[in-house]
Amino acid sequence: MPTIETRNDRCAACNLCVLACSFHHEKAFGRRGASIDIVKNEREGEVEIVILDDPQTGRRACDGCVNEEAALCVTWCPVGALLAREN
Amino acid sequence: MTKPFAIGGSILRVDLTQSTVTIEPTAPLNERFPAGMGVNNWLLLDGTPVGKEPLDPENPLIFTTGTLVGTPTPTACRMTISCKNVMTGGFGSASAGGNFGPELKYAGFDHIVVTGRAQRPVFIDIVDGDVSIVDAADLWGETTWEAEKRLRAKIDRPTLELLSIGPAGENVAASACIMVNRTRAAARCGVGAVMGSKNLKAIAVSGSGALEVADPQGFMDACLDVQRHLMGNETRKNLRKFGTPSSFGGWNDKGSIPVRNFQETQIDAEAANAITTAVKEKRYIEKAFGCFSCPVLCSQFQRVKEGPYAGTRGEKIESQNYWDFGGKLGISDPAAVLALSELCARLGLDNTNATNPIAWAFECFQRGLLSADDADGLNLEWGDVDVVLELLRKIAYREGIGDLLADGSFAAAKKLGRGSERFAIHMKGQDLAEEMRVFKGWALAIAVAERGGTHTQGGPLTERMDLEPELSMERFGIPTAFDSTNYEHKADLVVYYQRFHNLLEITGICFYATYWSGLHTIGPEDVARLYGLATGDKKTAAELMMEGEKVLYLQKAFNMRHTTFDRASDYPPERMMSEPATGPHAGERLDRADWDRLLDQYYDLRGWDRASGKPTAENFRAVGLPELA
Ligand code: SF4
Ligand code: SF4
Ligand code: SF4
Repeated sequence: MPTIETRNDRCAACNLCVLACSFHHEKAFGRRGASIDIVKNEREGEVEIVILDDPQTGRRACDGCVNEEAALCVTWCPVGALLAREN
Repeated sequence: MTKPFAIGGSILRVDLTQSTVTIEPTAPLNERFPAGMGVNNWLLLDGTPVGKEPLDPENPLIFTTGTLVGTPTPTACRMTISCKNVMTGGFGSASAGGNFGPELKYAGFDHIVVTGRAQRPVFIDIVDGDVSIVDAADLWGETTWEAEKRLRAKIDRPTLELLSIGPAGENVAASACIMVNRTRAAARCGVGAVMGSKNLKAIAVSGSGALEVADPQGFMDACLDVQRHLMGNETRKNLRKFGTPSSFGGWNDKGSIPVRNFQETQIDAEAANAITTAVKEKRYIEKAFGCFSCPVLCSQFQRVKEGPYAGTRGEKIESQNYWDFGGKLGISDPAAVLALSELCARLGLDNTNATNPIAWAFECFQRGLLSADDADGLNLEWGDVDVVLELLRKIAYREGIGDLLADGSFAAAKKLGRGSERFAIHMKGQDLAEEMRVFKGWALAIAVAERGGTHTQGGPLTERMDLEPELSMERFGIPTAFDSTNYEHKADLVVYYQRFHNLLEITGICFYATYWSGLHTIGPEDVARLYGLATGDKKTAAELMMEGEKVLYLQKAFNMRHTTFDRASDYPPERMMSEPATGPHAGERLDRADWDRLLDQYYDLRGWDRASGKPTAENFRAVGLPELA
């Protein structure tokens, strides 16, 4: 299963990856159903991409989009801030 | 009953006088009116009592998300906030992007209707269906940024979005806006003042739900398709690099920005160069950000690192900011424009409605109608940044001359008299944002806008595009869409864009991703495709455009009920008709006889009464709104 590498410096906080991920898991659109959180600090113009991989948190863990042709978050990111790396 | 596709599902009503919260389903109203903006406008029409002042507690303040908001529809993030317009007494609305709208839908709501007035300052806290009215006395008096910071520190939830007012809203300045996510302003019409009049400091929302759509895979594919198409487009690339200020130079080159309170229409080459060079060099830009679900990313984070404004930082500077400060007030230092914009964001001031009365005061000073004694000892000289910083603060706190300026130039001039009324540049009582003399369709849309002077209700940008008449025929069925100073067929063009803009407000798609700002973007057909796949409602593009038409009738009905607006209210400010433009279109102005004809054509297209400029009962029935006839 691929893991997702993140590049915070590129991320534009658009949350398109979050929507793609919630679609992958639920065929619906929301934030809590996704395995990604985009945490933006608007005061400093900084952002952190958090990939959730621990099922213990009560949130869905990233499964690397195993059943999809490609990792949806990577396909949807408009700036190339996400990369899928095969383990 | 299962929840219909794509929508949040419910309307939240909060009565702050009674401290009560009620929740009802959205679906019944969606059957009667266009969803989103249409239902919003109906709730406003239905809920606003006749004969009350705009700041009367009984009046509603309504927050609405678009029907496609919260889905991956590119740029569908927008919310509309409506109220009785503080400056015109008629229809009022403001729009903002950011993340609040999507989060509100994930919490299950399409609209929030706030009425009444809390006894003490409060904020509304929404956690899915669990809604509380919480004491906010400790936040009152704080800037929007400080309020947001404190709320974030206090509320610990996995996702949280906020909107708030600053001191300007608390002190019911007509130029008060509502700040969404601290970087997006819902500006114009005094929405922030209405919120302040309700003693409502902020709204917090966390939503754990998800939105289903009618055809999930088909919808995903279509969204990705539109996203890729959008991003291949040159203008969109410029928006991502420079933001909307990338167009400032073009507007000035065409001699079509407001300069020194609209006395001129072009700033000089040196001042223009100072601004456009900073924009082109990306001097202060650190990074491009996007609102929720937006691949365009026009929102640059900027930081000033040195000089007198070092430390200034923030996001989402528009071309309009340069019109407001660079043009109207004669400030050509781009770092100063950023600093002034930051102050407006913190104080919760809408820069357009705050700068117009300042420009009016400067012109009065220039002409000897106002003295430094009248202005708390300030010399109101064009381009003086420190004076403008001080006046913005005075407006927000209604201190000294700020109290006069806080109600807008129209009200200020009425109070001052001395012939100053001529220099209050407004439409229907609301301060004017845009220059009108050169582009005729643009001018018409602004003049007839139900909201009072705005290009966002039908103002065509095509007149700025250098494209061939054949393309104009092909796209709009008229030869003149790209012909700036020609009056012919401009009424048709405005009707087209009025419908289209309203359709975008129905869906929540951002104007910058659409046919409005470039023809290789999202057009009515794309909207229809995405709308159908998401909602299951397979209306054609033409049918959806007529939903946009209904929205306009709802706004018209509001103005017919609450104002005396008539044909005379649809004429531009006298200055636009009698004082010619400067720059490349020197001599250009709006001619009264031409305007008479243009208005006739505009009313005729809809079959409205030429003398009054109003629809007939039959018009309301024909458009599908018999209850308003
Ligand atoms: S790889 Fe798939 S599951 Fe993992 S974060 Fe991306 S979209 Fe979600
Ligand atoms: S899609 Fe890319 S740019 Fe957008 S939030 Fe996700 S990682 Fe950031
Ligand atoms: S284009 Fe700009 S304003 Fe519009 S949604 Fe994207 S970032 Fe927000």
